Amino acid sequence: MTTYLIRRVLWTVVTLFFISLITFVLMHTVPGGPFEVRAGDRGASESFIRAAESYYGLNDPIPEQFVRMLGNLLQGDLGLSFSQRGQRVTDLMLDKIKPSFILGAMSFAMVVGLGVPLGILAAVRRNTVWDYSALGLTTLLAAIPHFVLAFIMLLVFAVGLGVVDVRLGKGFGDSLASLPNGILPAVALGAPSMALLSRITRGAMVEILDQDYMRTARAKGLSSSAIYIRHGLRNAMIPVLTLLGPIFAGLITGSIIIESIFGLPGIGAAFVTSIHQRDYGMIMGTTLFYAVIIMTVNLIVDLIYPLVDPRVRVT
Amino acid sequence: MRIFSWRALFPLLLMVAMVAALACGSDDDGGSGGGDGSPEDAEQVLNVNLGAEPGSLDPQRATDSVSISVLKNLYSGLLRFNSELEVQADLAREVPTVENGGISEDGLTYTFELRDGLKWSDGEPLVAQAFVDAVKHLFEPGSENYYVDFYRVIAATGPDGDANVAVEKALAEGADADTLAALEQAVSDGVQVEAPDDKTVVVHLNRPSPVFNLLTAMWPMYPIRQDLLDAHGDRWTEAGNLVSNGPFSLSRWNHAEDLQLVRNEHWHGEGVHLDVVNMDMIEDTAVAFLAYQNDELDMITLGPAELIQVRGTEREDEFISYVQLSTLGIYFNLADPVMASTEARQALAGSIDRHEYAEVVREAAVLPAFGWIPSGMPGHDAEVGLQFDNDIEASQDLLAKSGHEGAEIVILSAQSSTSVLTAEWLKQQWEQNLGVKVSINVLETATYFSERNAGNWQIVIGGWGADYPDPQNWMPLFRSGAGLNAGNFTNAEYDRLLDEADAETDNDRRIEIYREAQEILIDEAGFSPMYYGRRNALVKPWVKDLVTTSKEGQVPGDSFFSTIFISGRE
Repeated sequence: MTTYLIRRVLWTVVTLFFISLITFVLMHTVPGGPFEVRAGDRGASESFIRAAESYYGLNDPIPEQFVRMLGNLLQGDLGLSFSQRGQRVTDLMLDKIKPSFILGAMSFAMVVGLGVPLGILAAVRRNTVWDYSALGLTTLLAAIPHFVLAFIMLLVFAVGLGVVDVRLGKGFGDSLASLPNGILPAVALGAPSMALLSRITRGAMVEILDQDYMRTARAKGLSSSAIYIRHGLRNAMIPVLTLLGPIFAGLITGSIIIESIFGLPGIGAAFVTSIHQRDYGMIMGTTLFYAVIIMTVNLIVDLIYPLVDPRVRVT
Repeated sequence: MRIFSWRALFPLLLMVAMVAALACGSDDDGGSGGGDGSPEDAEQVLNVNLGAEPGSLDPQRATDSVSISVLKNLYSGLLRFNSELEVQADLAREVPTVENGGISEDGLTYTFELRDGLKWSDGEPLVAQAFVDAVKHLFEPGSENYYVDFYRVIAATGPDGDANVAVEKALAEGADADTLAALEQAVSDGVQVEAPDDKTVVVHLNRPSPVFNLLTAMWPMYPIRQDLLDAHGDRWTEAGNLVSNGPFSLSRWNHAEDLQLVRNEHWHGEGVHLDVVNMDMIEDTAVAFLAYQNDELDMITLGPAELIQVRGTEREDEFISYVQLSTLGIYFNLADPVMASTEARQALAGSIDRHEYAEVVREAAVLPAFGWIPSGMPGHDAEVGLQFDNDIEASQDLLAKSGHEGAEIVILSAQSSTSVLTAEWLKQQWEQNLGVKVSINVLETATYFSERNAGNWQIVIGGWGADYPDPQNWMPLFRSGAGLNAGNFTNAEYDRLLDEADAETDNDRRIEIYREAQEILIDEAGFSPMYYGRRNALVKPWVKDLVTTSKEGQVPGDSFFSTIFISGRE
């Protein structure tokens, strides 16, 4: 187990190195630099671009820049942002990770808390009105795009009922009192994942419920909760668990659409805008952040498998 | 499946409206009021949308319209523009002229006397040195501010003559980075701005400039606090660090989220009504429209989709639309064999219906344009370019004469909806009227600018917005070899006229020369104007005494928030 962990962590470091290398090469080969974008429609004068590039050391050879970036990275520094003058990338990112993480966690709680029971319900009450209603709801949620759902919610709850502000994401995560404002964004963010999870749960449960040992359990007179939870759910958890990892990673890394509609200062918008603005430090920071999250979540899921199903063993 | 019925909401809305009406009816707390005599509300708060995070709140580093909208409210300069865009004295006692001795006889020395009792928002006295520091800060090497090139008329003692003139020459000749860096350092060391005492600012120029007063009224000449730069470095513009001298000061700046201004008690001007200005950063105009409907914003600039939703509804009472000093149209790259032909360019310029474009395609959000200098700017000429008003036959003849019939044309477009829409419309017009084959190459924004700067294009759609209200800000774009002349338009007579205008001291004559130059540019189709920009906005009825101008940043009326008051907010 320990050696397994050490090996996985070492591989993570190697993977991160290659991710940073590929990201670095890609962002420097893509046409267009940060200062051309900033000057925009006015065209960038030569002196402007030169001055700016030398300020940020962009005139040095690319390998040299990569080594310097890597050195700074090891000290936890990603340099200055190109698009927000005088701001350090790491400070900007830390500000944005918190609200995204809280929102993602809320959304994840909703996805699991509603998705799994809904899936079980649909499986246990197969081919009844329960099943069909769940199917209808999940199909609808999976089909409606994020931004449509978010706009409908704002129209109903903000403009229509007046119970929330349109800009309800403002200051989200700064205080406990701001947390209820995360409910609508969390629902909009998690709806498609919730739908997917409940379909997968239903599928896995249906398969398990048809197994011989379930019939045996029922035959020996076990209570239905014991049948469904201990024998059914636990065995159905493997495909669900496989899915939970990516869902969790996806939810806490933010979404530019949800963030920009609700005015939530998260990391998803930073990732996309940094690419448009060729804000190199920010691109590197957000990409590595995503990579770390995904790898960590995968590692955790791999460690949980044997707890759920003793047949799986990590080596 | 119907998941929600609007009808179900009506009784509820009615109740809310009734309660609100009752609550407002009793709201009569007097107040001094303003122009139209309506009483001021107790709460003087204005909520506006910046649309994006400001790039920088350092006046000598800001280049984007978002930052400029904020800066105009944070700072006051020596001079300012009034609502007609005429230069007025602000911190200076008067606008310098040769007659009042503010400008020397040779036009090379400007002297500004400061008013008495000027203070920063923290109560510190504001002295003339703050302007010297500002100009030095502007010329620091690596300032990342392309507006610095506007101020190269300021004298700077260099090793071989004037260093600013040397920089201009080096830029025109494409000097290498090291040479340029050395020259910029020389400018920074030798810039000729002084403060002989606490109340006098003296600026020396390396040549007479007809527009220096206009340049002085712009944000790069706002004073700064050198002690704050020394203490906080690049972070001096953060809320809590930043000290300003305008009608408002910065009380909060949550990056990429919102910022807040509060009234500056130490401002030198007349009583500001607003206590607080909240500036949101909603990028999506659809969301901003929702926030406006929900009374979270008091005014918004409308995007194309929202404009359609407003027309013909009761919201039209809140709708305002006014000219902005900007001209957009078609740039031709003369390095391309087809576009090098004057006849071919004239044919393309003359075979489109600009009225249809402005009124139908753009829903009257813009005005059709035939000239380069926009309406509202000195030198605007309503007669120029009218030969290109959808004269299809003449255009076909011109194209035949050029020998480029049936040519294949590529429009390079950025990934913006307006740009793509315009390109689609041009394609349809040209294919139908001229029989040429047009394709559209849409690129991601940064890639688009890179291709455009590299000269890999035939036709792009773009334009220019005013920095200061003078043709001098517009005409040099098409000077031979100019950095911004991406399409390589070259005309010796045009260049000569521009030189003549720069040296002309009689203003009427100067404007006349620009008119002549404009005729050359338009007649030769060096650029084909399509439309003049307008701002289309919604303003809540309780926002009183909003003063708009034709040169604004990102927010309507951003130059005169100091006059606005709130009355009768629902």
